[in-house]
Amino acid sequence: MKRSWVILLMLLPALIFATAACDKNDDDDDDNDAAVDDDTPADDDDDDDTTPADDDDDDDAPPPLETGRFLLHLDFETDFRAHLRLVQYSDDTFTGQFLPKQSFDVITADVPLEGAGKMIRFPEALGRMIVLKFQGPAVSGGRCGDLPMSYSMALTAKEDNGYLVGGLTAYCGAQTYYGRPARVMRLSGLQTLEE
Amino acid sequence: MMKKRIVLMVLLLTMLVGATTAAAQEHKYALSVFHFNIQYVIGGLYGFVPLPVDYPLWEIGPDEAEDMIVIESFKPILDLLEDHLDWTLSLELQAYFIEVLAERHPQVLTQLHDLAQGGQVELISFHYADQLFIAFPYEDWRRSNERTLDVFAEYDLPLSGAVFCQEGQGAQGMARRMEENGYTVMAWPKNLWKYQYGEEPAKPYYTFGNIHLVQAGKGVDDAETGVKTAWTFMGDGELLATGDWDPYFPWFFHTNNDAVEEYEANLQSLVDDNYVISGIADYVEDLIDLGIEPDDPPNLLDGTWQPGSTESVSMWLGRGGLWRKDERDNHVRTLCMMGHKELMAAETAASVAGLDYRDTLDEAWRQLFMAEVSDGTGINPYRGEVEFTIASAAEAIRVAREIIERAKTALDMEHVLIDTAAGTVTAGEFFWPGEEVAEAPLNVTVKAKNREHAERWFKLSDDPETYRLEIAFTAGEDKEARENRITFPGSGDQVLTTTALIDDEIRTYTRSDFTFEDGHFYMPAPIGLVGLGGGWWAIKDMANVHLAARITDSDPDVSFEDLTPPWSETITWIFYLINGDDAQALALADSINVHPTLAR
Repeated sequence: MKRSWVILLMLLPALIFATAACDKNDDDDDDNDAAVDDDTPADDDDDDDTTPADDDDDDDAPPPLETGRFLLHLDFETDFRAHLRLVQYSDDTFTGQFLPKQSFDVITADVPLEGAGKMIRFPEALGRMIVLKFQGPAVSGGRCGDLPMSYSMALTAKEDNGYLVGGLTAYCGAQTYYGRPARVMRLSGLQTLEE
Repeated sequence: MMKKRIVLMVLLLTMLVGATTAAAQEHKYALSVFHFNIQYVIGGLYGFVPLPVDYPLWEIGPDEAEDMIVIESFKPILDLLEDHLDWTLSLELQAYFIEVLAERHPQVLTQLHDLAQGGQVELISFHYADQLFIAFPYEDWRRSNERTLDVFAEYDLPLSGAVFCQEGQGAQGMARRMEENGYTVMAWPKNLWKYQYGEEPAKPYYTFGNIHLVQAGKGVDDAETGVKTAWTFMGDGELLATGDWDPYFPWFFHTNNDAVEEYEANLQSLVDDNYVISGIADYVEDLIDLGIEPDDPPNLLDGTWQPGSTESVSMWLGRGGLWRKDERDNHVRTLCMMGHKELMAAETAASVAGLDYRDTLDEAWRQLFMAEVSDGTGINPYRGEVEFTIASAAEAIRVAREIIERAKTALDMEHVLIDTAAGTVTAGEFFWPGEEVAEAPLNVTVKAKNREHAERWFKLSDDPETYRLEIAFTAGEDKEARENRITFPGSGDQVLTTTALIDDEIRTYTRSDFTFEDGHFYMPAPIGLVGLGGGWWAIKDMANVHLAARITDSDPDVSFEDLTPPWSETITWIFYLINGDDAQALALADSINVHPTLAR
């Protein structure tokens, strides 16, 4: 009983704040459009290339057109911040810059990561996922020692909803995107068109 | 002759007295289940309480949270046993716990190893991560258990024949899989029994398929056999050594020596009263050796250990907890099913293309096990736990899709249909089968709080009569829009579904046999299939809707409800309805959820 009172007293300010603060899943400005993803479910993403400039399937083909720019202010590991700038192209590829605002044992704050990726679709599940890959420097005193870092970002959403949830998975070593991750970190936020 | 009769009578009397003495002879056992969960706060505690100022002790990551559990709550139980060579305590944990010990607490692992080899610890483990395995196809658990057995073999840890699971999950289908994998005794939570059939005295043990079952947590006092049991502990193992504090409160979550000593004194008093401090498997082996026969249990539905407070599995498949506004049960669990499907497809595609991605796929499955951890959707998940399971599922799916793309490149195919049942990859593109029909074949009731909704029916087949039902919910009008429901009309007295880990059999229960405590029960429907009666079946398309099926003990209707949908998002549920026999219903559910064909 005593413990219950202690918990209650400790949680009271937190609960008041939580109630008053913005609901992380809520989008009070009613901007719920993904502003992307108007392709049909039958569209496929059969292009293995992750960088539009690398698309060498047909050297004579015109480069994909830029179709949108997005700035995502993401919650990073729930309690911290990160920013993701995305440029989307007509072939559903992306280039992106990720800027974490918090250091962990696998990533350093304020060191921008440049990468590329694409949209993958799940027509039977009415879902989509933005995937990007980044290379990063070794993290001093971190989990991977002197090894450079690889990061796989996967952000999910259902239908055309703009709220993306997923993660940034860190792997030890350059160009390493498989095997046991060093750490899975959480990301979430709203995908909105950059002004 | 008279003398002979007297001798005979004396002999019979002696036998009778002997028999009476034998029946009265007591067999006393003190049993326990310390359910340890290294993923108690999966992902750590960042942001657990969104205060405007940081609470340093709350700002801890996954490693710190795991280490805290090992040091403050797990090791003290091992230390307690060091002084009692003839005591056995039953410690249940996921195999991932062992990996954490090996990586960061090797001395504790050595201590555990020695105690387990010496018989002082009965090590119980049935799944790699603390997954809600009763809500997913058998294949997911099969791979999880395979990894579990590998981990225990790698560290030379003896695995008990007893089984207890995360959230006390119990399912009749476990009996066959336990037997196949060398497990012998199911520790079925007493409340999951009582919630369905009411209170009655526990028998020493029961049949469970071809193996056995005990009512975990319920003491036996059986005059007929003389068996008495006392459960000295059954609950979250983390709580005993910390005096009931859990890892959500790091500054209080410390070893409380008084609590440990009190427990030790309780055990000693039982020893003084001739109780054996025993493991569960040893207890049942003793009963068998004594010639005591098991009873038959009633026809139990799959569920979890505190169904009264969690309304069985609904807390993990649709119902919200303390932080309901941050929950998104259907998103998390449908994403897990997308992971299942994508991995099944990747396995098939890689095999057909002749690519060896065994290790890569195994790791992706491991990520899926992390995604299936129960705490992503219940009991009271905070946002960090919800998002950790989503992040894990997303990475598993990302890896699986990359392997599919590589297989397509190797096969020189652009658009493929990957048939995971047939193990084939053929050219083809995605399409939704069936023609839209104006008239609904069944009178379903859809309700949504502060949202609009629209239903569309598509006919897939005349024989058997098969439909796809799409329910499109608009984004909500406000934050109150967190209640979506559908009710299918039912008929008859039979409850029909599948049991966890057996995906190809219908289990039949008699509705009127149940005395549900709350009048209703939520079933996980692990391949999506629930009977409606009259030949009709509803099948969740589990990549779009994965919620518990609500039944009652009086009304044959079946409902699905989500009290956690993000209010600002559109949501589409998809169900399949079929009027057919068991085999046809099973085949359709299998093709949608267990062994799908994916267009990639």
